[in-house]
Amino acid sequence: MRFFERLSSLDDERRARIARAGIAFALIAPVAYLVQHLVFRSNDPRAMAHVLTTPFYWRVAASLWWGGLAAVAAYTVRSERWSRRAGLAALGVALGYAVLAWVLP
Amino acid sequence: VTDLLRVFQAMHGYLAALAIVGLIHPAILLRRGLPLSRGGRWALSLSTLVTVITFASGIAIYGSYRELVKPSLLASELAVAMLFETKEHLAFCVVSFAVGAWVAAVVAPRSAVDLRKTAALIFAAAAVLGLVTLALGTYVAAVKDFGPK
Repeated sequence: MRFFERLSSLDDERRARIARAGIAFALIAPVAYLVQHLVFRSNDPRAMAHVLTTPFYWRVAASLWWGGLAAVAAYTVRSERWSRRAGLAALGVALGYAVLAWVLP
Repeated sequence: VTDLLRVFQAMHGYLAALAIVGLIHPAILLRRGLPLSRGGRWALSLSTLVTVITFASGIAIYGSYRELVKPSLLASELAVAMLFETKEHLAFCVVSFAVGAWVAAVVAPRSAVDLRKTAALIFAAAAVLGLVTLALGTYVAAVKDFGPK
């Protein structure tokens, strides 16, 4: 409850920046994940059983880091223009992500 | 141990179903971009929390799954094993979308209608991808899970 009260005490400009940072995280973290997957993807699926490390954990951790970095970058941007198109960008990311995850698992 | 893992896997699936229902609600609630009430904020927070817990429970059993199930699945049912890979990728997208959209929706100032509408679209996309993830996960688990088959 105190968390929401503290949020309300922030000025509108700062709240808008944090909100845009959240959207940047939502868009960039999955893209970073997919890029890593496609770059380090093995052509032999059966080789996955013999990999000693767990690539999924690393992909997730690195993608969260990239998403966080994008959020920090978005926080520093003052423009509000880009957030209006972010919804459509999210739909594009979701569609492209789903297709690539399906075609190149 | 495998019985315990099967129970945990089933719980992961039930949580996923709950998370999808939870993700549809914010998409509807935020579609007009109106400011959230205190109850709305709590509802969004719980939806996102369930999604994160679902993903975390998947991460928790992933090590055992990779050790006990994946090798035989790859050997006997390659196409199904690839569907599991797709599910794994989609799950990360769902949790990223949910967390990012939650931040945007809860923190956005009262005047930021566009930000809340954007969050609604992201929640909707997360719900759709979550539904695909759940369907794939259920199918893969039906073919092979921690139990003896």
